Amino acid sequence: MLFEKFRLEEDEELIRIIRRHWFIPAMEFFGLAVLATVPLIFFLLLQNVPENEFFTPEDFVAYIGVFLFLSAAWTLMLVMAAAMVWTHHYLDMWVITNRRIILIDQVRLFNRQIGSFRLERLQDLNIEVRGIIATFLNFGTVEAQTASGSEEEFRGGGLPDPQGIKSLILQKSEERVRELNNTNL
Amino acid sequence: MLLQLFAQGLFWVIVLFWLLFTLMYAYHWFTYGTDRRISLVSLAVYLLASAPCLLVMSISLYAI
Repeated sequence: MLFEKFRLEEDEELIRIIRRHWFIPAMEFFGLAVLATVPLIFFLLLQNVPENEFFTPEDFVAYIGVFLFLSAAWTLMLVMAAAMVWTHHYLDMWVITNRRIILIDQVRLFNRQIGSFRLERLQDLNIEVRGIIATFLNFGTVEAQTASGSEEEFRGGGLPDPQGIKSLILQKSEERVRELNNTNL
Repeated sequence: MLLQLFAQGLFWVIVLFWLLFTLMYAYHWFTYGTDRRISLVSLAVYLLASAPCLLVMSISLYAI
């Protein structure tokens, strides 16, 4: 599993794992649910087509197998898409420890980006909550800038309670800097 | 006859694609998941949702 690979340092404690807000995958699942009704709508439309020289009730019965086959294939594709949405939601995460922040972005299967920065290197931390829904449900973007050689920037969208995350990271960052200063004295 | 042959070909292409996707899906969950129980539940739900689709596809092949 994941934490067997991370190998936390000595005295490093896992503080929190943060995943995107539930609203983000919920909207994606809703979109897939709407797409799942397409065969049903198509079936209802076909049933209501008036009989004419090109389309008779016998045609309808003759092609019911094709219709069922394509509907099931379509639904199977949607099941796979839903599995990807869930994977993207659950395997994407911000891992906060008392030493560093690890950001994991599961872009798609076999495309995984992992970044991390040490808390003492944190230079700037910004949050952004944009839109009515994000404001009411309290989710937004957290951007962290580090004081490494390249001034790297880490960004995570759709995170729940961005203000709380900011406070937690800043608190842990201060604790870490204090700890390092005491060690150096 | 031609339609049935085409449907059968499509069926096996979809099954192959599904199998590959399932293997990749399981690999990711058991390699990068944080909780083995949730990985197992995710895989079980995915398989349970896929099974009726595959069943309907294979049965409907006989009706084509």
